[in-house]
Amino acid sequence: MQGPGYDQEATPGIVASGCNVVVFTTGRGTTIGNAICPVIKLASNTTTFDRMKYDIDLNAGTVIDGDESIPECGRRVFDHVVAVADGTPALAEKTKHREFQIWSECSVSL
Amino acid sequence: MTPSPTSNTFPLADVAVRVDSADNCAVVKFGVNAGTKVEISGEILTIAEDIGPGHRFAVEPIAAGDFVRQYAQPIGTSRGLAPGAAITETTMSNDVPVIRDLPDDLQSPPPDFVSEDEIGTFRGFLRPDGRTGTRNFLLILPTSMCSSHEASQISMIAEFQHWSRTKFPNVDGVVAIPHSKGCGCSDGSNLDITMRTLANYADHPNVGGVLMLELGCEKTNQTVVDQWLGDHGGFSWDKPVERIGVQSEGGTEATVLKGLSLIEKMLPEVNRAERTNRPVSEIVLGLKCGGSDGFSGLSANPALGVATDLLIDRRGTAIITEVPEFCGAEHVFAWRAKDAATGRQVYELVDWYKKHAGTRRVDSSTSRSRASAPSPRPALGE
Repeated sequence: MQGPGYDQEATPGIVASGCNVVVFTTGRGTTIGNAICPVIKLASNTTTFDRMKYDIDLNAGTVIDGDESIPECGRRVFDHVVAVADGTPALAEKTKHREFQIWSECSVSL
Repeated sequence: MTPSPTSNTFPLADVAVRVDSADNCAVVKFGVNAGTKVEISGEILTIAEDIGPGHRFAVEPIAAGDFVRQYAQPIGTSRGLAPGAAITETTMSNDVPVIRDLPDDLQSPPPDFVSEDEIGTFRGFLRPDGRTGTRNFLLILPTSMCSSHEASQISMIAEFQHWSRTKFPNVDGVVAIPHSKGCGCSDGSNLDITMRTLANYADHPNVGGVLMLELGCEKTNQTVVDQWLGDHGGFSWDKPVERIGVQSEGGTEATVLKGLSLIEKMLPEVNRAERTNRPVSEIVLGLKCGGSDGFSGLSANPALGVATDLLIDRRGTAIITEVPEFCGAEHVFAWRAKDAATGRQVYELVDWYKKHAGTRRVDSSTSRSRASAPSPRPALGE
């Protein structure tokens, strides 16, 4: 989809394009959700995951820590995508994060 | 000569991640102090300064003007880097080659599709148009910013007073999408994107019913939204839809009360939808990355790539955007396209964005957020 990198505009954009589940990776940590679509967050490092574990669903820092391979972590992410599609709430749903913003193409958000 | 590691010398893999053997840099795992010795293929280098987790250092000399490589790809241009030197904005520029090569006969192998009985299922809301929802929301949609306040009020009160999971087990909530668009702007792309986004939300498979809310005199009032919907095929299936206007209802309070009475009426209708077993192929996965750090590309993003491949192998769908962030890596995407025509579309997306930014004198390199790597654990060598 043509669109910006800016989280708060890009995520509603891909949902408008028809996504019914979103996985959002983050290193520094984000709390983002979406009004109509579950957003699963995946941390890149264990420090951030531990600090924001009530907002970030899954941890891929295990790969850096040497506890899991990338294929093993990917399988775990896939299984969680299916579980959330099935009705298991993403943490952003529990915290009622329901962000919605429309891309301002003319302001050249990047 | 192969130096043997001493207590002050660490194998590279303990200290940092070097993604590809062609890389001339590595990413620090947990923080590393100045003076730490690191062994790489029998050579020992000394870390020049304290480097935090997620930041890079050179693993070999990189002369000024040469590319710094990670993932076997140029990620910037050296301003002069000795082995063990930290890679910072001072020691590396963001300059990378613009690659537009693409073989005309490009043919990427098809996905490794699993057999029908290996696809798996989830319980989703199959809609009459054939799409499947993973949620069933009643959506309150303000046609412009001028009715966004009322939309938020109705949603908040309705979820406290009218909806509960116990009363309506098949409804996931009464949600509003307040926004800042719809008037005080010229026609053109801003309005088109607004209308398209609002219409696609209203028509989304995760939405089982819609209350649309106008002020009345705005550029994107109900008449304009209905006209736009009509011109684009309308709703894909016959879901409960109601429309009210703040001006025609007589102001804020009257609108909120009217909206609440409509929500009360709609909830039992929206609750009729039920989850049934659906194939995993009906998952449409959105991929997004934000608040990134030096680890995102090493752990979370490739793991999400693996998860996406597993979904595609089950005939699912994935959607990615963040086109300005393809810059410098667009050829990697393009070369993985199914054919050259598709690959060229990737280049066109990036070139459109660069041109678009240029016409407004925006430099994409200024788009970074104020992110830096997370605070270190105790560093090796401490």
